[in-house]
Amino acid sequence: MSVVEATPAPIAQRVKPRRFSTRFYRSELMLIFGRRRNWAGLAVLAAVPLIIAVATKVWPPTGPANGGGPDTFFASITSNGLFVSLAALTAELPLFLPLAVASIAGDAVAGEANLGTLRYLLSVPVQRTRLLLVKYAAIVAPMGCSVSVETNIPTAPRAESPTAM
Amino acid sequence: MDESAVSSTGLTKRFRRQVAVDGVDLAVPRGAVYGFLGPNGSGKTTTIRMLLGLIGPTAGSHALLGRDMPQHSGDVLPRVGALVEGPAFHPYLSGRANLLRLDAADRTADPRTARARVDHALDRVGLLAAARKRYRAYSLGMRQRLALAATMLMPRDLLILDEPTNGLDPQGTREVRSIISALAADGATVMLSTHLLSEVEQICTHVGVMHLGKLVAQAPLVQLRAQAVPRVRVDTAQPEDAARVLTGLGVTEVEARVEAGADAVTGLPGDVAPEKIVAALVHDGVPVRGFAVVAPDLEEMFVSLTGEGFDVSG
Repeated sequence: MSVVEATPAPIAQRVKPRRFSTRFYRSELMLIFGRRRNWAGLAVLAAVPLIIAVATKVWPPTGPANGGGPDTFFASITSNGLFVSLAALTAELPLFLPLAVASIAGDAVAGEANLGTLRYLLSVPVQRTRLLLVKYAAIVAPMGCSVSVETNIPTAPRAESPTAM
Repeated sequence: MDESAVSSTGLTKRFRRQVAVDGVDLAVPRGAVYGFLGPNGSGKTTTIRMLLGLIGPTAGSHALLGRDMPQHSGDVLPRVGALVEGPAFHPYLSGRANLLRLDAADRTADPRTARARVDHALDRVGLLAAARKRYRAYSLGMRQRLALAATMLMPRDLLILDEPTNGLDPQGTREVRSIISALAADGATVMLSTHLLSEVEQICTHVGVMHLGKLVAQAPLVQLRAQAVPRVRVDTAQPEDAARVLTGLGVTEVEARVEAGADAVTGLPGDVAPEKIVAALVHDGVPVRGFAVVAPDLEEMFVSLTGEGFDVSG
Protein backbone atom coordinates (compact mmCIF):
# COMPACT_ATOMS: atom_id res chain seq x y z
CA MET A 1 0.00 0.00 0.00
CA SER A 2 1.60 3.21 -1.12
CA VAL A 3 0.23 5.61 1.36
CA VAL A 4 2.10 8.85 1.44
CA GLU A 5 4.28 8.46 -1.63
CA ALA A 6 1.32 7.97 -3.95
CA THR A 7 1.32 9.27 -7.50
CA PRO A 8 0.88 13.02 -7.74
CA ALA A 9 -2.74 14.05 -7.45
CA PRO A 10 -4.51 14.56 -10.75
CA ILE A 11 -6.02 17.97 -11.32
CA ALA A 12 -9.11 17.65 -9.19
CA GLN A 13 -10.76 20.96 -9.70
CA ARG A 14 -14.34 21.53 -8.85
CA VAL A 15 -16.32 22.57 -11.85
CA LYS A 16 -19.40 24.67 -11.50
CA PRO A 17 -22.38 22.40 -10.88
CA ARG A 18 -23.83 21.77 -14.29
CA ARG A 19 -27.50 22.47 -14.73
CA PHE A 20 -27.94 19.59 -17.06
CA SER A 21 -25.82 16.49 -17.27
CA THR A 22 -26.64 12.97 -18.38
CA ARG A 23 -23.77 11.48 -16.41
CA PHE A 24 -25.73 10.31 -13.40
CA TYR A 25 -28.51 9.09 -15.69
CA ARG A 26 -26.04 7.06 -17.71
CA SER A 27 -24.57 5.67 -14.52
CA GLU A 28 -28.06 4.65 -13.46
CA LEU A 29 -28.65 2.89 -16.79
CA MET A 30 -25.33 1.14 -16.38
CA LEU A 31 -26.47 -0.01 -12.96
CA ILE A 32 -29.65 -1.53 -14.39
CA PHE A 33 -28.10 -3.09 -17.46
CA GLY A 34 -24.94 -4.14 -15.69
CA ARG A 35 -26.89 -6.82 -13.86
CA ARG A 36 -27.23 -10.25 -15.34
CA ARG A 37 -30.51 -10.69 -13.51
CA ASN A 38 -32.11 -7.83 -15.45
CA TRP A 39 -30.80 -9.15 -18.75
CA ALA A 40 -32.35 -12.53 -17.98
CA GLY A 41 -35.69 -10.84 -17.37
CA LEU A 42 -35.47 -8.96 -20.64
CA ALA A 43 -34.51 -12.15 -22.46
CA VAL A 44 -37.60 -13.87 -21.12
CA LEU A 45 -39.76 -10.98 -22.32
CA ALA A 46 -38.12 -11.08 -25.74
CA ALA A 47 -38.63 -14.82 -25.98
CA VAL A 48 -42.43 -14.59 -25.73
CA PRO A 49 -43.08 -13.44 -29.34
CA LEU A 50 -40.67 -16.07 -30.61
CA ILE A 51 -42.40 -18.78 -28.64
CA ILE A 52 -45.79 -17.62 -29.94
CA ALA A 53 -44.55 -17.53 -33.53
CA VAL A 54 -43.03 -20.98 -33.29
CA ALA A 55 -46.07 -22.38 -31.54
CA THR A 56 -48.51 -21.08 -34.14
CA LYS A 57 -46.25 -22.41 -36.86
CA VAL A 58 -46.10 -25.88 -35.35
CA TRP A 59 -49.70 -26.08 -34.16
CA PRO A 60 -51.71 -23.70 -36.34
CA PRO A 61 -54.89 -22.38 -34.71
CA THR A 62 -58.14 -23.78 -36.03
CA GLY A 63 -59.15 -20.70 -38.03
CA PRO A 64 -59.42 -16.93 -38.09
CA ALA A 65 -63.24 -16.78 -38.04
CA ASN A 66 -63.73 -18.23 -34.58
CA GLY A 67 -65.34 -15.12 -33.12
CA GLY A 68 -63.83 -12.49 -30.79
CA GLY A 69 -61.34 -12.85 -27.96
CA PRO A 70 -57.56 -12.98 -28.03
CA ASP A 71 -57.74 -16.03 -30.29
CA THR A 72 -58.35 -13.72 -33.21
CA PHE A 73 -54.80 -12.40 -32.92
CA PHE A 74 -53.26 -15.82 -32.69
CA ALA A 75 -55.30 -17.04 -35.63
CA SER A 76 -54.30 -14.02 -37.71
CA ILE A 77 -50.59 -14.67 -37.20
CA THR A 78 -50.63 -17.30 -39.92
CA SER A 79 -51.81 -14.76 -42.47
CA ASN A 80 -49.88 -11.64 -41.30
CA GLY A 81 -46.60 -11.57 -39.38
CA LEU A 82 -47.41 -8.22 -37.74
CA PHE A 83 -49.85 -10.03 -35.53
CA VAL A 84 -47.02 -11.94 -33.83
CA SER A 85 -45.95 -8.83 -31.99
CA LEU A 86 -49.52 -7.77 -31.28
CA ALA A 87 -50.40 -11.18 -29.94
CA ALA A 88 -47.22 -11.19 -27.84
CA LEU A 89 -48.02 -7.75 -26.47
CA THR A 90 -51.56 -8.78 -25.51
CA ALA A 91 -50.05 -11.73 -23.70
CA GLU A 92 -47.33 -9.71 -22.01
CA LEU A 93 -48.97 -6.39 -21.20
CA PRO A 94 -51.26 -7.57 -18.42
CA LEU A 95 -48.68 -9.62 -16.51
CA PHE A 96 -45.13 -10.15 -17.70
CA LEU A 97 -44.18 -6.61 -18.57
CA PRO A 98 -45.50 -5.03 -15.35
CA LEU A 99 -43.82 -7.82 -13.43
CA ALA A 100 -40.45 -7.20 -15.05
CA VAL A 101 -40.67 -3.43 -14.63
CA ALA A 102 -41.86 -3.79 -11.04
CA SER A 103 -38.96 -6.00 -10.10
CA ILE A 104 -36.45 -3.48 -11.46
CA ALA A 105 -38.32 -0.44 -10.17
CA GLY A 106 -38.79 -1.97 -6.75
CA ASP A 107 -35.09 -2.53 -6.54
CA ALA A 108 -34.23 1.01 -7.64
CA VAL A 109 -34.53 2.80 -4.31
CA ALA A 110 -35.22 0.01 -1.85
CA GLY A 111 -32.25 -1.96 -3.13
CA GLU A 112 -29.92 0.99 -2.67
CA ALA A 113 -31.31 1.63 0.79
CA ASN A 114 -30.86 -2.00 1.67
CA LEU A 115 -27.26 -2.12 0.47
CA GLY A 116 -26.54 1.16 2.22
CA THR A 117 -25.38 2.81 -1.00
CA LEU A 118 -28.26 5.25 -0.66
CA ARG A 119 -26.65 7.04 2.29
CA TYR A 120 -23.46 7.48 0.31
CA LEU A 121 -25.40 8.89 -2.66
CA LEU A 122 -27.26 11.26 -0.36
CA SER A 123 -24.05 12.47 1.22
CA VAL A 124 -22.37 13.08 -2.18
CA PRO A 125 -24.86 14.95 -2.18
CA VAL A 126 -27.63 14.00 -4.55
CA GLN A 127 -30.85 15.82 -3.86
CA ARG A 128 -33.77 13.52 -3.10
CA THR A 129 -35.93 14.83 -5.95
CA ARG A 130 -33.13 14.54 -8.47
CA LEU A 131 -32.42 11.00 -7.36
CA LEU A 132 -36.04 9.95 -7.74
CA LEU A 133 -36.39 11.64 -11.14
CA VAL A 134 -33.22 10.05 -12.49
CA LYS A 135 -34.26 6.65 -11.18
CA TYR A 136 -37.70 7.05 -12.71
CA ALA A 137 -36.32 8.09 -16.08
CA ALA A 138 -33.79 5.28 -16.04
CA ILE A 139 -36.56 2.72 -15.64
CA VAL A 140 -39.19 4.23 -17.92
CA ALA A 141 -37.08 5.06 -20.96
CA PRO A 142 -35.55 1.63 -21.56
CA MET A 143 -38.85 -0.07 -20.90
CA GLY A 144 -40.51 2.10 -23.53
CA CYS A 145 -37.71 1.16 -25.91
CA SER A 146 -38.08 -2.52 -25.17
CA VAL A 147 -41.80 -2.39 -25.92
CA SER A 148 -41.19 -0.69 -29.23
CA VAL A 149 -38.38 -3.11 -30.05
CA GLU A 150 -40.68 -5.98 -29.24
CA THR A 151 -43.32 -4.75 -31.62
CA ASN A 152 -40.78 -4.15 -34.38
CA ILE A 153 -38.29 -7.00 -34.29
CA PRO A 154 -40.68 -9.84 -35.13
CA THR A 155 -42.11 -7.85 -38.03
CA ALA A 156 -38.79 -6.97 -39.56
CA PRO A 157 -37.88 -10.30 -41.14
CA ARG A 158 -41.46 -10.81 -42.19
CA ALA A 159 -41.50 -7.55 -44.10
CA GLU A 160 -38.91 -9.01 -46.36
CA SER A 161 -40.67 -12.30 -46.85
CA PRO A 162 -44.33 -11.78 -46.13
CA THR A 163 -45.31 -15.26 -47.27
CA ALA A 164 -42.83 -17.06 -45.04
CA MET A 165 -45.45 -18.28 -42.63
CA MET B 1 -14.67 32.03 7.37
CA ASP B 2 -15.94 30.49 10.54
CA GLU B 3 -13.40 29.05 12.93
CA SER B 4 -14.99 25.66 13.39
CA ALA B 5 -15.40 22.94 10.81
CA VAL B 6 -18.25 21.31 12.66
CA SER B 7 -20.42 23.04 15.20
CA SER B 8 -23.75 22.16 16.69
CA THR B 9 -26.00 23.53 19.36
CA GLY B 10 -28.41 21.38 21.29
CA LEU B 11 -28.48 18.68 18.64
CA THR B 12 -31.09 16.15 19.75
CA LYS B 13 -32.59 13.05 18.20
CA ARG B 14 -35.45 11.15 19.73
CA PHE B 15 -36.66 7.81 18.44
CA ARG B 16 -40.15 7.39 19.88
CA ARG B 17 -39.46 7.26 23.60
CA GLN B 18 -35.71 6.73 23.47
CA VAL B 19 -33.43 9.75 23.34
CA ALA B 20 -30.50 8.69 21.19
CA VAL B 21 -28.69 12.02 21.13
CA ASP B 22 -29.38 14.56 23.83
CA GLY B 23 -28.40 18.21 23.38
CA VAL B 24 -24.97 17.75 21.86
CA ASP B 25 -22.86 20.90 21.41
CA LEU B 26 -20.01 19.93 19.14
CA ALA B 27 -17.14 22.24 18.29
CA VAL B 28 -14.53 20.85 15.92
CA PRO B 29 -11.93 23.48 15.06
CA ARG B 30 -10.54 23.65 11.53
CA GLY B 31 -7.47 21.56 10.93
CA ALA B 32 -8.12 19.33 13.92
CA VAL B 33 -8.20 15.58 14.02
CA TYR B 34 -11.18 15.14 16.27
CA GLY B 35 -11.65 11.82 17.99
CA PHE B 36 -15.33 11.19 18.61
CA LEU B 37 -15.31 8.60 21.34
CA GLY B 38 -17.92 6.64 23.11
CA PRO B 39 -19.07 3.15 23.97
CA ASN B 40 -21.20 1.22 21.50
CA GLY B 41 -24.69 2.66 21.35
CA SER B 42 -23.77 6.01 22.86
CA GLY B 43 -25.15 7.96 19.89
CA LYS B 44 -22.02 8.60 17.82
CA THR B 45 -23.41 7.26 14.56
CA THR B 46 -26.76 8.96 15.05
CA THR B 47 -24.94 12.25 15.57
CA ILE B 48 -22.90 11.73 12.41
CA ARG B 49 -26.01 10.87 10.41
CA MET B 50 -27.57 14.11 11.60
CA LEU B 51 -24.44 16.09 10.74
CA LEU B 52 -24.57 14.79 7.16
CA GLY B 53 -28.27 15.48 6.83
CA LEU B 54 -29.19 11.82 6.38
CA ILE B 55 -31.72 12.15 9.17
CA GLY B 56 -33.30 15.28 10.56
CA PRO B 57 -32.67 16.29 14.17
CA THR B 58 -35.57 16.42 16.60
CA ALA B 59 -34.19 19.67 17.98
CA GLY B 60 -31.11 21.83 17.69
CA SER B 61 -29.07 23.03 14.75
CA HIS B 62 -25.65 22.48 13.28
CA ALA B 63 -23.25 23.90 10.74
CA LEU B 64 -20.53 22.32 8.64
CA LEU B 65 -17.56 24.40 7.45
CA GLY B 66 -19.31 27.48 8.76
CA ARG B 67 -22.52 27.06 6.74
CA ASP B 68 -25.83 26.15 8.32
CA MET B 69 -26.77 22.66 7.49
CA PRO B 70 -29.69 21.32 5.95
CA GLN B 71 -30.12 24.63 4.00
CA HIS B 72 -26.65 24.74 2.45
CA SER B 73 -26.07 21.01 2.06
CA GLY B 74 -25.75 21.42 -1.70
CA ASP B 75 -22.72 23.71 -1.30
CA VAL B 76 -21.17 22.11 1.75
CA LEU B 77 -21.48 18.37 1.27
CA PRO B 78 -19.34 18.20 -1.91
CA ARG B 79 -16.47 19.44 0.27
CA VAL B 80 -17.15 16.79 2.89
CA GLY B 81 -15.99 13.22 2.54
CA ALA B 82 -17.96 10.74 4.59
CA LEU B 83 -17.76 7.16 5.70
CA VAL B 84 -20.93 6.27 7.57
CA GLU B 85 -21.84 2.95 9.17
CA GLY B 86 -19.27 0.94 7.32
CA PRO B 87 -18.67 0.55 3.60
CA ALA B 88 -21.60 0.00 1.23
CA PHE B 89 -21.25 -0.56 -2.50
CA HIS B 90 -22.92 -2.50 -5.27
CA PRO B 91 -21.64 -6.05 -4.96
CA TYR B 92 -21.82 -6.89 -8.66
CA LEU B 93 -19.84 -3.84 -9.79
CA SER B 94 -16.06 -3.60 -9.65
CA GLY B 95 -14.36 -1.32 -7.16
CA ARG B 96 -13.58 1.15 -9.92
CA ALA B 97 -17.12 1.09 -11.31
CA ASN B 98 -18.48 1.75 -7.86
CA LEU B 99 -16.27 4.81 -7.42
CA LEU B 100 -17.12 6.05 -10.92
CA ARG B 101 -20.78 5.81 -10.04
CA LEU B 102 -20.33 7.90 -6.90
CA ASP B 103 -18.32 10.39 -8.92
CA ALA B 104 -21.03 10.54 -11.57
CA ALA B 105 -23.53 11.51 -8.91
CA ASP B 106 -21.41 14.50 -7.88
CA ARG B 107 -22.37 17.43 -10.06
CA THR B 108 -19.29 19.41 -9.10
CA ALA B 109 -16.90 16.69 -10.30
CA ASP B 110 -15.28 17.12 -13.67
CA PRO B 111 -16.17 14.12 -15.87
CA ARG B 112 -13.00 14.57 -17.93
CA THR B 113 -10.73 13.80 -14.98
CA ALA B 114 -12.99 11.16 -13.44
CA ARG B 115 -10.89 8.16 -14.44
CA ALA B 116 -7.63 9.71 -13.29
CA ARG B 117 -9.14 10.76 -9.98
CA VAL B 118 -10.68 7.36 -9.33
CA ASP B 119 -7.41 5.59 -10.09
CA HIS B 120 -5.49 8.01 -7.91
CA ALA B 121 -7.86 7.40 -5.00
CA LEU B 122 -7.59 3.63 -5.49
CA ASP B 123 -3.83 3.90 -5.62
CA ARG B 124 -3.76 5.89 -2.44
CA VAL B 125 -5.49 3.15 -0.48
CA GLY B 126 -3.57 0.41 -2.26
CA LEU B 127 -6.48 -1.04 -4.21
CA LEU B 128 -5.35 -0.28 -7.74
CA ALA B 129 -4.41 -3.91 -8.36
CA ALA B 130 -7.91 -5.03 -7.34
CA ALA B 131 -9.73 -2.22 -9.15
CA ARG B 132 -11.36 -4.55 -11.68
CA LYS B 133 -12.44 -7.13 -9.13
CA ARG B 134 -16.07 -7.19 -8.20
CA TYR B 135 -16.86 -5.65 -4.84
CA ARG B 136 -18.43 -8.96 -3.81
CA ALA B 137 -14.98 -10.58 -3.91
CA TYR B 138 -13.39 -7.93 -1.68
CA SER B 139 -12.33 -8.76 1.85
CA LEU B 140 -13.56 -6.61 4.72
CA GLY B 141 -10.29 -4.70 4.78
CA MET B 142 -10.52 -3.99 1.05
CA ARG B 143 -14.12 -2.83 1.42
CA GLN B 144 -13.13 -0.44 4.17
CA ARG B 145 -10.33 0.89 1.99
CA LEU B 146 -12.67 1.35 -0.96
CA ALA B 147 -14.94 3.41 1.27
CA LEU B 148 -11.94 5.50 2.24
CA ALA B 149 -11.01 5.89 -1.42
CA ALA B 150 -14.52 7.20 -2.08
CA THR B 151 -13.88 10.04 0.33
CA MET B 152 -10.73 10.98 -1.61
CA LEU B 153 -12.28 11.37 -5.05
CA MET B 154 -12.30 15.12 -4.67
CA PRO B 155 -10.25 17.46 -2.50
CA ARG B 156 -12.12 17.66 0.79
CA ASP B 157 -12.07 20.24 3.53
CA LEU B 158 -13.70 17.95 6.05
CA LEU B 159 -13.73 14.20 6.47
CA ILE B 160 -16.31 12.55 8.68
CA LEU B 161 -15.26 8.98 9.25
CA ASP B 162 -17.38 6.60 11.27
CA GLU B 163 -15.19 3.82 12.65
CA PRO B 164 -12.81 3.70 9.68
CA THR B 165 -10.69 0.93 11.19
CA ASN B 166 -13.58 -1.33 12.11
CA GLY B 167 -12.86 -4.91 11.15
CA LEU B 168 -9.35 -4.28 9.96
CA ASP B 169 -6.35 -6.35 10.98
CA PRO B 170 -3.52 -4.57 12.86
CA GLN B 171 -1.63 -4.01 9.63
CA GLY B 172 -4.70 -2.52 7.92
CA THR B 173 -5.46 -0.40 10.96
CA ARG B 174 -2.01 1.09 10.81
CA GLU B 175 -2.29 1.78 7.10
CA VAL B 176 -5.65 3.47 7.50
CA ARG B 177 -4.22 5.52 10.31
CA SER B 178 -1.37 6.72 8.14
CA ILE B 179 -3.81 7.58 5.35
CA ILE B 180 -5.82 9.67 7.79
CA SER B 181 -2.70 11.39 9.06
CA ALA B 182 -1.68 12.14 5.48
CA LEU B 183 -5.11 13.60 4.73
CA ALA B 184 -4.94 15.74 7.86
CA ALA B 185 -1.47 16.90 6.84
CA ASP B 186 -2.98 18.04 3.53
CA GLY B 187 -5.07 20.47 5.55
CA ALA B 188 -8.34 18.62 5.89
CA THR B 189 -10.23 18.56 9.15
CA VAL B 190 -10.93 15.01 10.22
CA MET B 191 -13.72 13.93 12.52
CA LEU B 192 -13.20 10.35 13.46
CA SER B 193 -15.61 8.26 15.46
CA THR B 194 -14.16 5.28 17.20
CA HIS B 195 -14.22 3.23 20.33
CA LEU B 196 -10.53 2.42 20.14
CA LEU B 197 -8.57 4.57 22.56
CA SER B 198 -5.20 3.72 21.06
CA GLU B 199 -6.37 5.22 17.79
CA VAL B 200 -7.25 8.47 19.51
CA GLU B 201 -3.97 8.62 21.40
CA GLN B 202 -1.99 8.17 18.21
CA ILE B 203 -3.62 10.50 15.73
CA CYS B 204 -6.11 12.83 17.37
CA THR B 205 -5.56 16.40 18.47
CA HIS B 206 -9.02 16.89 19.97
CA VAL B 207 -11.38 14.57 21.75
CA GLY B 208 -15.12 14.50 22.35
CA VAL B 209 -16.60 11.79 24.51
CA MET B 210 -20.19 10.64 24.13
CA HIS B 211 -21.98 8.71 26.81
CA LEU B 212 -25.64 7.71 26.75
CA GLY B 213 -26.42 10.33 24.12
CA LYS B 214 -24.66 13.18 25.88
CA LEU B 215 -21.34 14.80 25.13
CA VAL B 216 -19.65 14.40 28.50
CA ALA B 217 -16.28 15.89 27.59
CA GLN B 218 -14.77 17.86 24.77
CA ALA B 219 -11.25 19.26 24.79
CA PRO B 220 -7.90 19.29 23.05
CA LEU B 221 -6.07 16.09 23.88
CA VAL B 222 -3.12 18.04 25.31
CA GLN B 223 -5.43 19.76 27.76
CA LEU B 224 -6.99 16.48 28.86
CA ARG B 225 -3.53 15.04 29.36
CA ALA B 226 -2.46 18.06 31.41
CA GLN B 227 -5.39 17.56 33.74
CA ALA B 228 -4.27 14.05 34.43
CA VAL B 229 -2.49 13.82 37.78
CA PRO B 230 0.65 11.65 37.71
CA ARG B 231 1.39 9.11 40.42
CA VAL B 232 4.75 7.84 41.59
CA ARG B 233 5.33 4.13 41.78
CA VAL B 234 8.10 2.48 43.75
CA ASP B 235 8.92 -1.18 43.23
CA THR B 236 10.53 -2.50 46.38
CA ALA B 237 10.90 -5.54 48.60
CA GLN B 238 10.00 -3.50 51.71
CA PRO B 239 6.73 -1.76 50.89
CA GLU B 240 6.01 -0.79 54.50
CA ASP B 241 9.25 1.15 54.85
CA ALA B 242 8.77 2.78 51.47
CA ALA B 243 5.25 3.83 52.39
CA ARG B 244 6.50 5.38 55.59
CA VAL B 245 9.19 7.37 53.74
CA LEU B 246 6.71 8.57 51.13
CA THR B 247 4.22 9.67 53.75
CA GLY B 248 6.98 11.44 55.60
CA LEU B 249 7.83 13.41 52.44
CA GLY B 250 4.26 14.64 52.07
CA VAL B 251 3.14 12.28 49.34
CA THR B 252 -0.62 11.79 49.61
CA GLU B 253 -2.83 8.76 48.99
CA VAL B 254 0.01 6.37 49.61
CA GLU B 255 -1.02 2.81 48.80
CA ALA B 256 1.08 -0.26 49.34
CA ARG B 257 0.17 -2.95 46.84
CA VAL B 258 1.48 -6.39 47.65
CA GLU B 259 1.58 -8.58 44.61
CA ALA B 260 3.37 -11.89 44.28
CA GLY B 261 7.04 -11.06 43.72
CA ALA B 262 6.33 -7.47 42.75
CA ASP B 263 5.51 -5.28 45.72
CA ALA B 264 4.87 -1.68 44.84
CA VAL B 265 3.90 1.51 46.60
CA THR B 266 2.07 4.26 44.78
CA GLY B 267 1.10 7.76 45.76
CA LEU B 268 0.30 11.25 44.55
CA PRO B 269 3.56 13.23 44.74
CA GLY B 270 1.92 16.66 44.64
CA ASP B 271 4.72 19.25 44.73
CA VAL B 272 7.39 16.79 45.85
CA ALA B 273 10.01 16.37 43.14
CA PRO B 274 10.53 12.74 42.04
CA GLU B 275 14.30 12.94 42.40
CA LYS B 276 13.88 13.96 46.04
CA ILE B 277 11.71 10.93 46.66
CA VAL B 278 14.35 8.61 45.21
CA ALA B 279 17.09 10.27 47.26
CA ALA B 280 15.05 9.96 50.46
CA LEU B 281 14.28 6.32 49.79
CA VAL B 282 17.90 5.46 49.19
CA HIS B 283 19.00 7.49 52.21
CA ASP B 284 16.64 5.53 54.47
CA GLY B 285 17.97 2.25 53.16
CA VAL B 286 14.84 1.17 51.29
CA PRO B 287 15.89 -1.17 48.48
CA VAL B 288 14.47 0.43 45.33
CA ARG B 289 14.06 -1.93 42.39
CA GLY B 290 12.20 0.48 40.18
CA PHE B 291 10.82 3.97 40.25
CA ALA B 292 8.39 5.60 37.84
CA VAL B 293 6.16 8.63 37.47
CA VAL B 294 3.02 7.30 35.81
CA ALA B 295 0.37 9.48 34.17
CA PRO B 296 -3.01 7.78 33.98
CA ASP B 297 -3.65 6.60 30.43
CA LEU B 298 -6.63 7.65 28.37
CA GLU B 299 -8.52 4.53 29.20
CA GLU B 300 -8.57 5.34 32.89
CA MET B 301 -9.57 8.91 32.11
CA PHE B 302 -12.47 7.79 29.96
CA VAL B 303 -13.66 5.22 32.38
CA SER B 304 -13.76 7.96 34.99
CA LEU B 305 -15.68 10.18 32.53
CA THR B 306 -18.21 7.62 31.44
CA GLY B 307 -18.37 6.10 34.88
CA GLU B 308 -18.17 2.52 33.69
CA GLY B 309 -16.16 0.08 31.67
CA PHE B 310 -15.67 1.14 28.12
CA ASP B 311 -17.58 -1.59 26.37
CA VAL B 312 -20.57 -1.58 28.67
CA SER B 313 -23.47 0.67 27.87
CA GLY B 314 -26.98 0.99 29.18
